[in-house]
Amino acid sequence: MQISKYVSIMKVSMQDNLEYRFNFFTTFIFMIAPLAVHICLWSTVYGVGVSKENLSNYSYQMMLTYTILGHCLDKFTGDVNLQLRVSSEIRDGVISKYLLLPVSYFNTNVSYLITNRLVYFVTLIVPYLAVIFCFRSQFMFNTEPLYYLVFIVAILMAIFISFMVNHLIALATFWLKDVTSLYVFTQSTFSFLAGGYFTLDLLPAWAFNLLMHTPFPYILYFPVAIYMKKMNPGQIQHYGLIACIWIVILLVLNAIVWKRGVKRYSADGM
Amino acid sequence: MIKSIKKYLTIYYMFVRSCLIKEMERRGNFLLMSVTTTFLNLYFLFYYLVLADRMSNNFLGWSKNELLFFLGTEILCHSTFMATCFYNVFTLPDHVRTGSFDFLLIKPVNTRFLLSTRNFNFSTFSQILFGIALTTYSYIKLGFKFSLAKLLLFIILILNSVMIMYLIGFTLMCLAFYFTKISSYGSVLPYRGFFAIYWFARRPENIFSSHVIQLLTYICPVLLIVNLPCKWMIRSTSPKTIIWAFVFSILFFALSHILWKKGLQKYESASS
Repeated sequence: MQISKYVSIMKVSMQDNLEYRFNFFTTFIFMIAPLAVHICLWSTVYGVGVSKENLSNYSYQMMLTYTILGHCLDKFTGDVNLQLRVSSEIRDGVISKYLLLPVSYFNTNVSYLITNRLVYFVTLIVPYLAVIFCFRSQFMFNTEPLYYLVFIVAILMAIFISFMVNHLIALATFWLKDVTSLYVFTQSTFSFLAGGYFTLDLLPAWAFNLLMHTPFPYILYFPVAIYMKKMNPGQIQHYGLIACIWIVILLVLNAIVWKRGVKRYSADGM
Repeated sequence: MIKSIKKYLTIYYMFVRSCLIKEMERRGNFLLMSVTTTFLNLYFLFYYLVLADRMSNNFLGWSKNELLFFLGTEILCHSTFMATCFYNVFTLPDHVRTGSFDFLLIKPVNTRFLLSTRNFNFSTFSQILFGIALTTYSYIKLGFKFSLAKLLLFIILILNSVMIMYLIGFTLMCLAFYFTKISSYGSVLPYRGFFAIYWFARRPENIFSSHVIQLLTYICPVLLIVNLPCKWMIRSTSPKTIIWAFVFSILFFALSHILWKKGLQKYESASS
């Protein structure tokens, strides 16, 4: 595999993404509303003296940290436009060119993902740091560098898992023609199952254990739990292994579905 | 006047009919949308059940059944808005950007009416049914007795909530006339702006402090959506707030119309 051609794709994609800086920034401004509502909710809940035993031993500081970091990762790990873009490229016949060019469609999308996430990171890091600064007296700061390292690796895995799940669903366009009706559903489902609505620790133990064997908690809950030291090294290894297995499964599934999909592909619109 | 109302009702009936025919041509997609959108509500149902369970059936003074009634009311407001307004108002920036707004202007009907009513989404009907079922179930469980007058005002308050949601969306869309940067992104920014505002409406008001509740009821009154109809049915609310909800709708409608009229004067067309 020649890396240089994908680096070229990344450079073009970077320029394209920088054109939409304003879009990224306004995304944050508007996305701050659910964060503000969640912070209000937990502040009031803890303010009226709810026992932390009722909330899976989460103190106010822990819940606030989970809420801010969870919100940040919910926006950062998932490329919301990927599903729509891939789906429309299949539907409109745009992927025909990838069948002729000496580049892989999957790798091209990975190149887009890397630049897209880089721009997202640079644009959103400052506003989120500002939010953390505002709540610095309540926010939990992890002081162990090793945890930060594992946290970063977990985020990279989260981005890749989220990408592959979205990519796989978009590939369903080969059969369903239009998956846009699934778009809102899948985004909300991922957010819910990943721990975007509330920390998965609030779920009954059986539901938590069941969910941890699916790829979704590794998109959000897992990295945040590592940062908050909710897991010991043994658990991190165990769940990290499950995440790696899911990455392999999703890679294989994407390859199989792409291969079968291309056989069905009739280049509509060309 | 009556003739004019009759004419517009007939046009609206034709719009709804044509949308139904279009939906029935893609029955698979219609069924898929109906099922998936109903599923989304199950997540919120689960969310409230977990919160109620974790806080011993007392989430900031709301019992489990009160929370379910709140959720049912939210689903009714949200899905009615999605059925009647959502796919209409959010098309404006794209019309302005592409210049297709010209085709709306030349039609022999009121342009705002045309823009606001052309599309009707039937796939949210499953959500409306879900909302009705949830409110009915929780209302019975709360032990309230049926009152027709109470129910009628509840329905009117929900329709008023939908009206306020429409006006928030419409006002945000009108900004596309004034800021070309907004229209160049299509409906993305106003759409996000709308849901950012709506987020403050979709949780019980008790999560806010009393000052914020006053602010969100009288200054930036998003609590008139969902919270007010819900409180009318299962809690207490002052007649002053109910009157304010209707007065606010009328004032907001007038303000949005001024923005719309001024915006039309700024419209320069595009690509034509």
